[in-house]
Amino acid sequence: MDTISIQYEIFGAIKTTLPDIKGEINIPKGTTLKDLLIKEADIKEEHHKYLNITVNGRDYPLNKKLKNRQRIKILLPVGGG
Amino acid sequence: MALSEKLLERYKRQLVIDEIGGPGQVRLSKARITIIGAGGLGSSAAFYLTAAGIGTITMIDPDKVGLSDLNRQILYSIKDINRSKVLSAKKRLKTLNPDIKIEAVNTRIDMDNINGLIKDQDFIIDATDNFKTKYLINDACVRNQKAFSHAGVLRFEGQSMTYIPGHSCLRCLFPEPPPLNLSPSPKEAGILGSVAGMIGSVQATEAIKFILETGELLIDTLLTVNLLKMDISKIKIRKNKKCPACISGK
Repeated sequence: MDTISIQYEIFGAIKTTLPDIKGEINIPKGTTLKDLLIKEADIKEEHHKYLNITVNGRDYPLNKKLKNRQRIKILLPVGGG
Repeated sequence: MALSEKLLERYKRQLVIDEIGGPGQVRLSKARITIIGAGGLGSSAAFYLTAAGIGTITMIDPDKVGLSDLNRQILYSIKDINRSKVLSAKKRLKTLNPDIKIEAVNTRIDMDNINGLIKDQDFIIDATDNFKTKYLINDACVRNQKAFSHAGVLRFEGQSMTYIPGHSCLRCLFPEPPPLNLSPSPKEAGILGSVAGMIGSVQATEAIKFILETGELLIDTLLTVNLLKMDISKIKIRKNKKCPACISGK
């Protein structure tokens, strides 16, 4: 299967299956941002609206396919004090 | 207004800083800052603002000191357990700097009292420990055009941003607070005291820079720190044209 490589960074205490707060993973070509969140990060669709996500520093439609070498930042606020 | 000999000696180490000096110190002595939440963030922020000579500091919190607070809430000691946080804080801060005014407000902020509590303040510090109150403070500050510092901490992580009228607010970045099953609560995940201390210090520094009108504030910027990885980032935030707080605050 053709794959692409993307870099990701997570900010905030998100419950996810991604292995670390930042890294690089290989995903199937054709994977959308929404697929990435659901299949790779195990973040349910109902939770996507609470996240601030940028791809290469810009907003990115959830249903748009990701491209090789893109950088994804996933932010969630932290609430403790 | 001239500083007395005693105050010149007390603030000697910061008076020599170009951005402060005598005029800056006088500005600080006239400033009114409210800290909402007298926990881990609030303890650290209050200490440094008191030490810096902020004229009037108001601390708001309804809770009493518990034993499990002492890993991060550095204003308190064993003697304060079961006592009001804000009254204990006032007593402790007065021993550090008796020349400033500390006001203790032993109440929980809500929709009915928040406007009155922030009305006459120059700067607000959100040092609370839950999303519900953080969004209440954000919305009230946007509505009342009040500058404030937002922050949150969990485990080894911290975030902070500063709002000034006309710029992006917490809701511009995160329109709604996340549910508990997406992000763990502080009780579940824990907080390392030194992380709360660092982020509270960031909030105090933002307040001081705002009063002095100097430096670069965390405006339209989210500071994120992960001290487990020693990873520190500044993330640019764009004002959200659909932000419900900014739209209703106009």
